[in-house]
Amino acid sequence: MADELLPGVGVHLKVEFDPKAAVVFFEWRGAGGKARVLASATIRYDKAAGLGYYCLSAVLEWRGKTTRDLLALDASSIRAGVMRWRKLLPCAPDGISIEGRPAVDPEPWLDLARRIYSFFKPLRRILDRMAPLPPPRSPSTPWKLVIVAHEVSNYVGFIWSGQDGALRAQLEARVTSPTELTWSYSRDGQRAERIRSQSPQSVHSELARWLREFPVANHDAKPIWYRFGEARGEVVAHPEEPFGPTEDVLAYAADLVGRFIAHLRLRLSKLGSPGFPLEGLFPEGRAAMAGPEYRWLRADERKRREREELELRVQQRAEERRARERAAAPPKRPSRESAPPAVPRVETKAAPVNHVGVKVALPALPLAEVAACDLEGWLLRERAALWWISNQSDDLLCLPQCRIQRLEYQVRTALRVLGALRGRALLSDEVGLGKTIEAGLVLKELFTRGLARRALILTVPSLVDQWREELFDKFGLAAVTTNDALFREDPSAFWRIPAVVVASLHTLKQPAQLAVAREAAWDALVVDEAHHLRDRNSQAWQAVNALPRQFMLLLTATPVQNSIEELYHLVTLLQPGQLPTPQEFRRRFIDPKRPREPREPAELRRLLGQVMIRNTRANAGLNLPPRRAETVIVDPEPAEAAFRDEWERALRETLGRLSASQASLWGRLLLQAAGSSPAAWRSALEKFPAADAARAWSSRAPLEASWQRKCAFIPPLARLEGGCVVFTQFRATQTALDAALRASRVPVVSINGSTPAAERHPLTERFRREGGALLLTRSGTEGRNLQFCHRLVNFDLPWNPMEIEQRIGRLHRLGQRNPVEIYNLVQRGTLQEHLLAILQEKLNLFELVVGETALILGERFSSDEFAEEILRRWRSPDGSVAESLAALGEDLAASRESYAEVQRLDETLFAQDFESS
Amino acid sequence: MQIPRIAPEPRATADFFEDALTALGALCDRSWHDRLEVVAEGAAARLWREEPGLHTVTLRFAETAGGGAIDASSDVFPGCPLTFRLAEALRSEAIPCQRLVLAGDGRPAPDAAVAEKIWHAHIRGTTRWRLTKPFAAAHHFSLVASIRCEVQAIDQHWSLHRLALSLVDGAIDQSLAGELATLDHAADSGIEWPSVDAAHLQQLIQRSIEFELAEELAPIRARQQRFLTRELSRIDGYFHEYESELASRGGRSRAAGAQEKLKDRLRATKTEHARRREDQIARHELHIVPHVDALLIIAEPAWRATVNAVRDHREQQVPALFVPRARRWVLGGGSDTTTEPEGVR
Repeated sequence: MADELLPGVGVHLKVEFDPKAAVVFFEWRGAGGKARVLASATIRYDKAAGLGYYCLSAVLEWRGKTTRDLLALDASSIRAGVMRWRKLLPCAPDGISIEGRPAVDPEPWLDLARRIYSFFKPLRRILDRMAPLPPPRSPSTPWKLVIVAHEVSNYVGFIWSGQDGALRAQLEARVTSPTELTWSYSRDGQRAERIRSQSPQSVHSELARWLREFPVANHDAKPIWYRFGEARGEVVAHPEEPFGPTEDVLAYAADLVGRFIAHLRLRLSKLGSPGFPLEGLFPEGRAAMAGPEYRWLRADERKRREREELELRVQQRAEERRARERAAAPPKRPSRESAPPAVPRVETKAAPVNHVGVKVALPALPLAEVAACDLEGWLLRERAALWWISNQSDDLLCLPQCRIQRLEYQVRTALRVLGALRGRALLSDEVGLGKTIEAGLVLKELFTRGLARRALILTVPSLVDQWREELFDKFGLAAVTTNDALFREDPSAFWRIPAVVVASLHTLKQPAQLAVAREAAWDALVVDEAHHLRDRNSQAWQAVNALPRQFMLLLTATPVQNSIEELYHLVTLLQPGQLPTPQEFRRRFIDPKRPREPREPAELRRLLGQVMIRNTRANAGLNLPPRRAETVIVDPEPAEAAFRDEWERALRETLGRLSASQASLWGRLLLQAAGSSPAAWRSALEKFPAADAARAWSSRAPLEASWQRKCAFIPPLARLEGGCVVFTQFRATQTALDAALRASRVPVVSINGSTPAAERHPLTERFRREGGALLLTRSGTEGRNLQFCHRLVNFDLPWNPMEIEQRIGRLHRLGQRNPVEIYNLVQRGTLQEHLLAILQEKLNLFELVVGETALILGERFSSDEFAEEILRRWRSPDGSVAESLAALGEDLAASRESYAEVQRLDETLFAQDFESS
Repeated sequence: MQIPRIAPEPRATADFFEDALTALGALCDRSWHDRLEVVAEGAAARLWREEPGLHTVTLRFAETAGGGAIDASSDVFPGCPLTFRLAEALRSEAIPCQRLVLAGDGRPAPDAAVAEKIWHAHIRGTTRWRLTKPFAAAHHFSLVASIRCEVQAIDQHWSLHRLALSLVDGAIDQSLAGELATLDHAADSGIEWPSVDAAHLQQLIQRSIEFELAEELAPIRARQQRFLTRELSRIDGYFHEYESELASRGGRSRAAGAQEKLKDRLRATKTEHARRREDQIARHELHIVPHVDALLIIAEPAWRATVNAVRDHREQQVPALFVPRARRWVLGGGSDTTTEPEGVR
């Protein structure tokens, strides 16, 4: 038979719909009008099926057998049933006719499934009315559940009662901070609270736990919403539709809590847009907000109005004053003593009034003439266009495409740059607030809205690759950089690439590069570390000024260092003419005796407000708890101290015999390993080029006593609530410490570079749950957020202050609620002890905020240079090592003092006037 | 006619998604007030992935984007990329230009006296009106376009307009745009449809769009004007002060070439001043970019006539069409049962 030999060829399928009988008929025939029937089938509504709600019975008669399937009246079930028949009885697409017409859809089976679904869907209601079916009852449980979504009191509640109506348990979820949920519950007469994260996973697991304990059948679960009524203060209950048999109560509940979190996070935050979420929550409008509970909202609006009015008045007064001054200025008289040369008269005729022009640019219309009239289709296309424009949100369009944590001050900043500041701004947020993220948001939004196609990012050479990574990882923007091969091979092609280009400012300054770069029209120009442009006569300033650009961002945390004239130069790059001429600026704003203090601060702030945004930790809500650093000095045994002195002398001599690069590498490694643990030290010695010396040292080393003392410090800390995080540089130290702590019966979790990525999060969660000690190496630290713990032990001390800062930053970040305790373990009389002293006392490392270390060190050292400097001073000390390092400490103290001065100046100058809100 | 934006409301969004995905060939089921189960294949599935095959997804409709975890492939919220992609999937590269015939009211030709009154109401300045021939049945052709208008004024504004134009005289027909969805259609009974000249339609739309947008542009233009005035005043003030400084400096100098040098610098300053002004004026210009999404050529019953009238003491014979639906005269038109409109070649 044809259908068996060649499936589908020569088989015809006829489908008829009978609305009166609510049946769909299928008939498969061979080719030709009178060919025999191969198979027939029907799909009908079958209320007698008794196995579920809205059941369809699909009966197929084929080869003398009758098979019956039950289909749910939903799209996927019908599609699956139809596709089963398609597999059993294939036929060519042109052999299918539906209602007497050949199928025209390229996917006729899918079209057929859709038609069947559409055919039965309205029937469902009619048939229900005629003979209502009882909804299917999932197995009953002893509980009933009422889900309360309370829009007035702002919580989601879950009330379990027995089938007899007696209250059994009650659970409420309230948003109590931007990141936390408070779950209050009462059960068995006891009431308690617990604070959990707002993450969907946390919400889901919390609800799942409760629903496991009090399971409910779908028909026993009922959602009710409480909203404001028409009358003021009235609260009205709106019972929702009951749960359907296929609904997932847990998913609904988790979704509901998630939506409340989304609304209330904005509402509770004073930084958010106050009207929007409330209006979204209460469609009844602002009438509902007349009550005393919204006093803060009205006060905010009043303040905003007053501020606007004040700004307007100040502006008007300044204009009037300037006009008066111009009018009153006496004409310049020629001096009697000197014969005056004829001065060309400056024309002061009124400037012509310019009206805003309008340009209409309608692109060519690529028409496709369609004869058939399909007004429905036409109107749907128009509706799609309407949704397209209605979807243009007041929020940033790019946010769903960005992989960043949404911080309101950053979003506000980006919106302000794109709106009021018209794409040109000086971003001077305090360090650590994410200027890079803000600039990335602005760039991404410009690209998303089609306002920019080419962008140039200028930064210092060490940050070029970091910018490229951040743009790609966080914003999905692929960039080419001056570190790429293309730049070396064909620089002129490089500067013309129509994409995002990240270049070093130093490269751009080269005349040959600048000549090509200035030929390109840059839609957006971002200059990171823009304090390098503070001097108008510098090459960097001249180079940036020469670039044609539409939008421009200058990023710096310290726009002023020596004189406010530096600020003038930055602003001139952004908006030439925003500030008066240099001479006028100096006359009006700069006191030559005190160049850091402006003469008319209010007027200067007003002018700067039109180009500058400066978020502070206070306005960003990032005031973290303090850090407390404690140095724990371990006293070595006399034999140990003697050996160490002897070993250091021998090492100096041995390093002297190695090449410079080897000496630097091995010197740093061995000294740091010796400060960490005997295991790390021995492990490092195994590969030391002077093998004989290494063997001799290794066999004699009496280092165990101080190691035991260091280890003994950890267990008491680990047994406190929340445990402690222990950082070390060396894997060998981590392994030895792990064993030592386990022997002391301390729960230990170790993560290092060899721990698979998938296991890291569960291990961190285990530490979070159980406490104890979490041992981390540098590579195990990456991406770990440990703000739930507030005790940190630096078991050894990296020679790179930035690395120490990164360790602290894992715990001391958004979400940390307790003061962070930092314990630094060092051995008395060692290089580590002296280093720690200068980092703590001179640099004040443990009290700086994230990002400040880089700013202070950046003036003198890159991170690698700092370690090199320490080794240099250890190898050839001027006097003792301690004295030599103390001199380095003085340098650091001077840098820090200079930074503190700049910071004080910035605070005085800018105060709170340039925040993004 | 401007079509106002839709407020983001989950139910309405879900309705749109259900209709649009169904039109793209997907199977949709509203399993809950804010959920839509979708089984998509082909064009519909391409919203989520490029590879062929079925794609099943449960869409969730939220009122705001919020701050919680969002899955951009299944959560629909104001500003979400999925809505943009779906709307764009319904567009095609070439703009389909469809034809629609409107049904007439079946009434006979209008009384000449009534037609004359309507003529005088619309076309001023004519006297001694008379029909040279009785009314003959004809068709009047109009163009209806659905246009997304992008107004670039430092920031962007988008609005949707349904623009209806007579193909004969290019006049905007607001009533046709407003009533389009409710008018009765008729079958195409051998109407001789005009072939469509894309360039001419483009010209017609371009000519009318600024007028159509006038109301919307007013506040934007006022704001831009305010910004421009402020910027120009800042620039003028800056250069005025700079020129004064130069002049006073020149006045103090006794060097031989000082005056020449001063004149050169003043000239350069003037050039720079003019350049800065032009730059600001260009930056504040409003750019309107109309994006045409759908076109419809409409034929509706009309009465063709040749009217004799005197204008400026000169007698003229004008071919014209009387459109009963709009109760208005359209000047021009052909001489046979079908018109030969201006926008048609």
